[in-house]
Amino acid sequence: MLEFRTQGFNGYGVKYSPFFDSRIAVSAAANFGLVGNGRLYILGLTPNGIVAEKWYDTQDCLFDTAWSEAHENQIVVASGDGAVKLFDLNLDNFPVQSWHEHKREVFSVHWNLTSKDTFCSSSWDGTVKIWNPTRPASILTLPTNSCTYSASWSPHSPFLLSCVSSDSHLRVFDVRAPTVSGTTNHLVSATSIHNAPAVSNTPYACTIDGPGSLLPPIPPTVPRLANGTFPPSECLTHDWNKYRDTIIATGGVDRLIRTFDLRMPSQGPLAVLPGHGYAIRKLAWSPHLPDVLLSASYDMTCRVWTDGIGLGVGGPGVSMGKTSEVVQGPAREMGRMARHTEFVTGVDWCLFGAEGWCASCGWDERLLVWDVRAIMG
Amino acid sequence: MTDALCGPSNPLQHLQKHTSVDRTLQQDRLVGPRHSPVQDFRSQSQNAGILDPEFNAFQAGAPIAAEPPQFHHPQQGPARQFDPSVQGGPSNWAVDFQRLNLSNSASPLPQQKSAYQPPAQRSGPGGWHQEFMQHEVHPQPVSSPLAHQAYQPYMGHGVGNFQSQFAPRAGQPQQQQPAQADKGKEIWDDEAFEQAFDSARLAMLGQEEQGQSRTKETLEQLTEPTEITVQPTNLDHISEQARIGADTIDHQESNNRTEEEITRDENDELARVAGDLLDKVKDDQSQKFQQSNFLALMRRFRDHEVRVEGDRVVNNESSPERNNSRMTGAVDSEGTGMGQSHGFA
Repeated sequence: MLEFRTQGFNGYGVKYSPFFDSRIAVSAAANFGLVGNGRLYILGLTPNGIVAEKWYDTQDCLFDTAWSEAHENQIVVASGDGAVKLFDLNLDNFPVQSWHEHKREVFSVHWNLTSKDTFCSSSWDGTVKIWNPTRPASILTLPTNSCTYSASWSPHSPFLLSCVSSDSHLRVFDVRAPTVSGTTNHLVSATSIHNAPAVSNTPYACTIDGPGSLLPPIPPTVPRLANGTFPPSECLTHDWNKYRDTIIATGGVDRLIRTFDLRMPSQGPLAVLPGHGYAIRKLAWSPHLPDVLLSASYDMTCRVWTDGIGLGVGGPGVSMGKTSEVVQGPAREMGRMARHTEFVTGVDWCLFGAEGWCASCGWDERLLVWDVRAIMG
Repeated sequence: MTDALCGPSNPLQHLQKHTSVDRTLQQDRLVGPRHSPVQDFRSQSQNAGILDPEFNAFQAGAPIAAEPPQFHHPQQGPARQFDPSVQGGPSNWAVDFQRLNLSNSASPLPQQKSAYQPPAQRSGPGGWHQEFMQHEVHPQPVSSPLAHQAYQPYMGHGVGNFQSQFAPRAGQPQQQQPAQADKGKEIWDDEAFEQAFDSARLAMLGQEEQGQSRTKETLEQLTEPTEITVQPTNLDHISEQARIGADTIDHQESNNRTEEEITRDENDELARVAGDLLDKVKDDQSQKFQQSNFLALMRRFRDHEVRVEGDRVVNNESSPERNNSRMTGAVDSEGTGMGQSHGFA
């Protein structure tokens, strides 16, 4: 396990470069993000450990960051003062572009993975904005009317993006869809995350572990309403599955990870994964395995999960399949990493090399680079 | 048509050929666009359709009917309708011809007005013809020469187009057509034009509707790969749902308080929030939570040992300072433990 200390700054977001296997960016904030400056670290993995190749100080704390998918030296950050800034690593000290349209804290930025020429940002001001780095103003503003903690492009379509927000909803926007009214701009679905779980498990069902529920039991401490739904709770993070193009995982204040199938979102979550002791701050599907999910939580742990649906032989969470056969096992926690000593706020998978490498950051001023396979039980 | 030109001929044969040709032309014009350059031209030339009936009528009764054969001569080949030398007519005719040629291609309406004075008399395709016939019978010194001049070039123009674009070798003199038949054709023209326009309008509407539905269909198809159905999203349940978490925080700042009051209140609020947060984790006896720097800071906030001043956290002396409302996000829903701490995000 490699480590880098972000001295004086509490980490909020971490991202591997999509171009270099040895480059990691960390967005961080002083004073746990309460007040004060922010800093963007550009770190290099070297034989001598992790070194800071460059850093940028900002006026306000930085809640998230996203590498450009089109330009290896460019990276955007989400700032607490409502600004979205684009940095170019060839230049020191100052951003090459700064947009100040959001009226409140920007909580997430995410680059379009397929078209690569746009990125999105989400904010407490209840909007998601779409930007082109070459344009002086945002291209599109999508209203959510709720504090939006996380927005993300589909890895499968350049037109689809999703977001989760304080109102316990998962929204999916299609930028091609017609504008119906001010509140349904390009919106194609808004799913209540707190809906009761789907009765039958999944359309893929092919049990390998015999009878019984494939979902882990939801502990009685999790509050449930009489009709089986959960109380609404703020959703803080979500991610698109990289292999199953209709699957999104969500996580938030109610400490449950859920997976949804966008083909039938109103039927409730496919899988509900309890385990975290406090709110879940960040989720990331593996870029290598279709069923493996990594989470970071206020309980100061990172955990690795399988939602039980793997492609190929050998069972879920084992390896990339050699066939397209779909198998299903129990959704479960596969391991946890508890080295952080404060809230863990960011995780990201390495796109290169062996399939288990990832990075995590937290309020303990540390970036950890580690191998998920080492903690899988 | 080849027969008409090259083979042994008699006048009756010529007439038959001619009428059949003419009917084809009319239908071509009326039925709607076809894939011939002539139709393209005619759809652009507003004058051509208007003039043909008058031309026929004029040929039937006009005194200058002898002139057209000059440029319908079979030996001539494709008529170069814009060449004054071919016309062989009066010099002013050639001049008018050129002027009207301009009017037809560039800006027909104003030029027409000057040529057809008074414009109000041109009520329809047949109106001009009738007017002209009157002029022939009872020549009026003021308007007749003008109409006469304007008429001739148009005739040449229309026929020339016909010859060069549609039937270059059909140089049959059209003046042989009986006037009576032409009048019948005129009436039929008016109705048929209306019908044709109606049907064209309907067709266009149909295409439009089809286009709209296709757009939707395309949208659905494009969306299909990800299997997201474009369904009417009922957002009522969201608006009805009670606001929670960060959404409950009102960002509206009251203006009638001094900044000092605000900051003092906000630091008090921060202390309260920190206390709530610590309450929620007080049962957590894990070493990490006991030793957490963040929670230690929260304790100091709760106990008013530190405060936020400007962009820094400072030891408390007297005056509280501005609070960042992100902090207040920590108090929201109940029973979810530290989860609310995300509000710090």
